Amino acid sequence: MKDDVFIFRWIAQDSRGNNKAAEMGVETVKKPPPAFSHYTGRAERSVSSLGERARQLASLVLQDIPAKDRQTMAVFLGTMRGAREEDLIFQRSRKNSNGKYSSPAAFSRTLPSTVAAELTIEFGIRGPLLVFTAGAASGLLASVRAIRWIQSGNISLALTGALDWSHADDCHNTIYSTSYSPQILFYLIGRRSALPGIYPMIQIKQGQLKYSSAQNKQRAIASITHFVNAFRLASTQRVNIQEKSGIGTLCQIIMGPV
Amino acid sequence: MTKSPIQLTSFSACTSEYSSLEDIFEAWVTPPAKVPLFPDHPDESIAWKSLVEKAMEAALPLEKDRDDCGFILATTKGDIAALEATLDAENEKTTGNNDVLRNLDGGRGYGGISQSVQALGDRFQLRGPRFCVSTACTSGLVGLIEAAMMVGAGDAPRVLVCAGDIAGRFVRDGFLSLKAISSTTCRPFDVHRDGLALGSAAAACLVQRVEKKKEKKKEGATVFLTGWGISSDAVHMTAPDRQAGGLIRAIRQALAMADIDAGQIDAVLLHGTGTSYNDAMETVAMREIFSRRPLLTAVKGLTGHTLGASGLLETALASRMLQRQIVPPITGLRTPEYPDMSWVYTIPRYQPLKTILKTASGFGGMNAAVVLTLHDADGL
Repeated sequence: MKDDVFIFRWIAQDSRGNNKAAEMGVETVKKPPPAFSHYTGRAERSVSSLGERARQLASLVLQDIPAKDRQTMAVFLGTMRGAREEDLIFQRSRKNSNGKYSSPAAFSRTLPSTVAAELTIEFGIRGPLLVFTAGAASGLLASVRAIRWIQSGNISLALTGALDWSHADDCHNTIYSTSYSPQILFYLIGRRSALPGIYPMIQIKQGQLKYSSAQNKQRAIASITHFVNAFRLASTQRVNIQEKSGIGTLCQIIMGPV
Repeated sequence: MTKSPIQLTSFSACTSEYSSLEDIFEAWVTPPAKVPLFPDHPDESIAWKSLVEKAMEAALPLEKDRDDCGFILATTKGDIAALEATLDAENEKTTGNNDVLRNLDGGRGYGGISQSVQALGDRFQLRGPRFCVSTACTSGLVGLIEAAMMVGAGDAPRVLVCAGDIAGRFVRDGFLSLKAISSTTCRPFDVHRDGLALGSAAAACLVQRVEKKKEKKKEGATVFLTGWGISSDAVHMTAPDRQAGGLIRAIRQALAMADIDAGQIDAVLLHGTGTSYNDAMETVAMREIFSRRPLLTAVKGLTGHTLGASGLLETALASRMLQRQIVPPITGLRTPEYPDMSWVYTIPRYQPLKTILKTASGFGGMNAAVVLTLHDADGL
């Protein structure tokens, strides 16, 4: 069935570090233990500050999901410059040492997919991992693609969302901005049968992509407030359309109450 | 699961050393005496643009078919020179100098790898949905799989997928810091191997669904993407799962989707980076999956590790293997570390090929596998 896709729960963190999902009892959840390597069994080097926040939020979304369900779960994330912090650290280490003593730890985390990969390691997620970039539509694009993968039967459950560094002032303009801060949004999306013990909050009616010359001049999150409002609206009373354009792609999701 | 046949056409590829897919394939069959460890780019921005545009140009659909043609760019870092300029400017900014940032991209700032997608999509007038996929060194294969998913689900009738990466100074310093670069030459699966070589490349391919009426008119043999799989190791950021769990899962998914047994695979084009952990992991996977060993080959000894481009570049080479019925040797392999495996080395093998498995693995424990099948005009 084409419309058999649901959002089970969601959580967002705005640039001030405020969590937006009181429904989940966020305030009562403790900070997760430090990251550790399943490979060596030892504590891992601390992840980037964006990665650290992502790990904390993901632990809230995944807190009661059994390990066996995580093994087949997918991760679909949108980002524009998710690796910005590690890029900067690595570049500084290169320049300061004339390329001789660049930081290997920073280099291994300079990929846009780094944070998503860290989440798979931390939470034992072994399904497909896909990271998308489409300007301001990156976050919504990840959702639309996750919906397609679920509808096609390739996966039944995905940790989906977006993470990025946003500017305090003009979201698109790196020139005059004085500071960047991380914004993160995660939600669990899947078939109803994927999590029989959890009642879904939102039903996805449709998700689609098409060409559009319109541009939204924002980063991958494209305003946490938009998403949060859309989710709250959908889970409480009415069907609404979440729509965003970036680099020539219009992403659209129609969602409503279950 | 998508069942409609996905056709791959108009393969193209170029590297910093070779200007066409045919040149790369010829060099793979008859390798040159010496292969460089790094590409040399006087201007990395020009190198990025010229490689990617050249690959795309050769794979473009007819002008009338571009109005609804989707576009997927698969890359790890995109235009790395633009990224470096931004990073330098941002590092400068923290010391109070904002002038450098103001000059970036005519004052518009840096838009990340999205910027390249938009520029290339506009340049070639591709007016379907477009976006970028970035999943480390599996990007090329994942981009191809995403294109197939889009075509299969009807999001676009055809999708041009292009994978590209520049192994510039940023990347070279990174791999040197990880001590992953060979000191001599890249020799995947060789007992004397000591690391990888790096390469810059771009590859492109047009992905479309077979239309019944066109199918009847089609001449000669065509390559189809019949199965695919993606998985995560969930083990380590830079090292693969020693038990090859992720790669085995991806291959099994691909075989199941293609509806074939492992015994029907004629050859495998491995990721074959030439690092000891990767080579050992791939060998474990091959032993686990195949009881009757197919021919095993790899190409990074010739092209170097072309990062996000490698998956699609090597899929393009695999399509040539099918069309020419040749399995070229693993460049650089002289004395196999695991002699019980069916490596193709020193000389090419000529034998009937119908189905090839292509695999890729990347940082973060990502794995992808695709099954490519050669069909005659009436073979579907």
